[in-house]
Amino acid sequence: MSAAKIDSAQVNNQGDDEVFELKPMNFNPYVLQRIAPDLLLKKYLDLNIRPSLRSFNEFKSIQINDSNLQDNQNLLAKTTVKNGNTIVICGIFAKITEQSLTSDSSILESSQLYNEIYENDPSNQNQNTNSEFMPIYPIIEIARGRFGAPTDEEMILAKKLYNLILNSRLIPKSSLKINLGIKFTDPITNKETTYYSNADDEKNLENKEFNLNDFKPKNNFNFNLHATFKIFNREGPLFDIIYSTLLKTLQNVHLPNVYIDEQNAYLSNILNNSAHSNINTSRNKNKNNLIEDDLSLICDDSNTYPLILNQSIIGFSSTFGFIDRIKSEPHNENNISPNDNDDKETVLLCDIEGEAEETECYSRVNIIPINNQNDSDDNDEFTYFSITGGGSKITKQLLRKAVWLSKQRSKYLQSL
Amino acid sequence: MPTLDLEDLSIPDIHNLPPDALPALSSSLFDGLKFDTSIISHCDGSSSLTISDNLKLICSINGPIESSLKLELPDKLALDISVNSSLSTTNNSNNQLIENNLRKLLIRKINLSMYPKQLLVINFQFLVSPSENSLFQKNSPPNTPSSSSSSSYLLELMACINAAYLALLDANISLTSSFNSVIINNNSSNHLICYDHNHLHTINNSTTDHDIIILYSESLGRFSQSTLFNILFNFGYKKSLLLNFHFASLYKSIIKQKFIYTDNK
Repeated sequence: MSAAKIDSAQVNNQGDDEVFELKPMNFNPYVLQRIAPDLLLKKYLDLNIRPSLRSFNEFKSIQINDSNLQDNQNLLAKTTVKNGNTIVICGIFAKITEQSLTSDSSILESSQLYNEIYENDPSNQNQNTNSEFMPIYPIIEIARGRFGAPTDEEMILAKKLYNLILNSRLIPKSSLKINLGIKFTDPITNKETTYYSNADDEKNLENKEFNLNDFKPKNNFNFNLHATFKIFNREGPLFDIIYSTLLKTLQNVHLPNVYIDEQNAYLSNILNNSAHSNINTSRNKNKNNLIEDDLSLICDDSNTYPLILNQSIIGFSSTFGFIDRIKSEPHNENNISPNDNDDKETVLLCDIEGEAEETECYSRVNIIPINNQNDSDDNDEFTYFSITGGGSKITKQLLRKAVWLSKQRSKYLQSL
Repeated sequence: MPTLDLEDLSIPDIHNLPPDALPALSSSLFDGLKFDTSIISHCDGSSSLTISDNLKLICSINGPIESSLKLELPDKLALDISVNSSLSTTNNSNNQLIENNLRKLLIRKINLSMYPKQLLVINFQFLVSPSENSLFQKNSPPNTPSSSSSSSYLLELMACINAAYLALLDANISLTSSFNSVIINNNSSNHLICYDHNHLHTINNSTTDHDIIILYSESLGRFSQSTLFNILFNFGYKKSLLLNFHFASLYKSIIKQKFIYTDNK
């Protein structure tokens, strides 16, 4: 497909007569979409097709590959998604944070106070429940052929993702809490056993006289989830694909069981107790080092459990662009809404792709519906809904159409 | 799923209100929203905005000024928007997100072609911001990563949009239409909506959905379609109209201050 433009005038000076020869100039679509995106898009839309050769209501193709994490022990899950020509690789890893509640009792008190106040106050229900959920810390890298500080787009995408995961209440705090196990070594048989303080484990213990918690450090440990994204071949807005990839990856996350060695547990407890009893006495530097060095948490890769997500809010994101075009034949099926002007109509474009669409579609709608748990069609809830206007006018009808399409898309992505 | 009870939030008819009642009503409806313009003398336009004790923001505008070659656009005005936090000096990603959304909105509303090859510098300085406040609150429980981060982000964005609008008016920058933004908090969701008030003559009860132009909206949390549409096309718009009236009283005083009317004919 080539577009012609009368651009240059060739002047032949032969005596006094000036002969102008107008030559059409040909550009291939890739060049034209850079220099005249509006012209290119108009040409395609008049043909009822988009520059990516998709129809208006057609989404980009998507392939999801949940690969094993055998190749990298640090990753909890990894997913590769190919959306059109864009490839997104998402890996999730966890870090462990320590909550020293016992060492600072004032924080504990204030936390209890906080909970009491907010639980009794119905107006703060929203904030209170949000604090029971965890965000994810994303690092996004869009390959652009050079290295450097993160670009604005990467930072904005990461922050949006963080806000969304926290506010949609996807990851409950309880599912990231570490149930610390202790490894005991039988002095006679040298057999190593790891105990976790589950209800079942405690029943199984032959000797019920000792409490497992006495051997553990008093502090709480939590996982913090981090997600890294590598994006290759960016062709359009990336938020949808990143969000979908993240959800697919989170569904595959298996957290390792964490334990400490018996000897360390014993040592650290003794030292902790002595530190508490002699707060005023100057601490031995070596002792402190001993705690930090020896209380190493060991993650058991072979013994994992799946991350529990809040399944009731899972849904996949889709973005729609809106653009005006000259009304074509009345029998055209892609007409969506009649506009104020009789000669113009607004069309809805699914999955914005390419430079022409990205620069010309000012009006956009981004929707994340909630997928139904059972197949009934009565669920019409959302976790995110954003409208950016200013270009073509977005009417209620168009919004309804976009909502319907986003639900279909979300269902399809869930089934993959 | 709790739904928004719009009965409780219904707004009285603006036309039947006594003129004195408007500021009091706005103040209660907008959580003690206060604003002022021309607060800084060494810039072309400025405004301040306060929402109770929760948020305090100053916006200053310099321009149109001569642009550097890097930023210059041949046929229109270039915008340089920067949002500064109250505590941290470095730029963080939250501010980047606010800047990005503001830019999307302002390039559609400022008459850019009026000022070719020039630059408009818009600065926002938070004096008190809810997102940073929550980090240092004594009563906040440990290890709750900005429990209300998203709603505070929406609140900050709302404040920036409204402050930018007032400052742009103060700086006498040509706008294509008036706009403002409001926040609506439901039990389980937060909604920010920015409306375009293109034609003021539609302010009456016969406003149809078709007249409503949404410039920007962002809804976070969990909400149903009916709630969302009700907020976007009914309640939010009414609230926004009320705010627009409130702003209009301010322009009146601006115009009175800036222009000298004489009786000479």
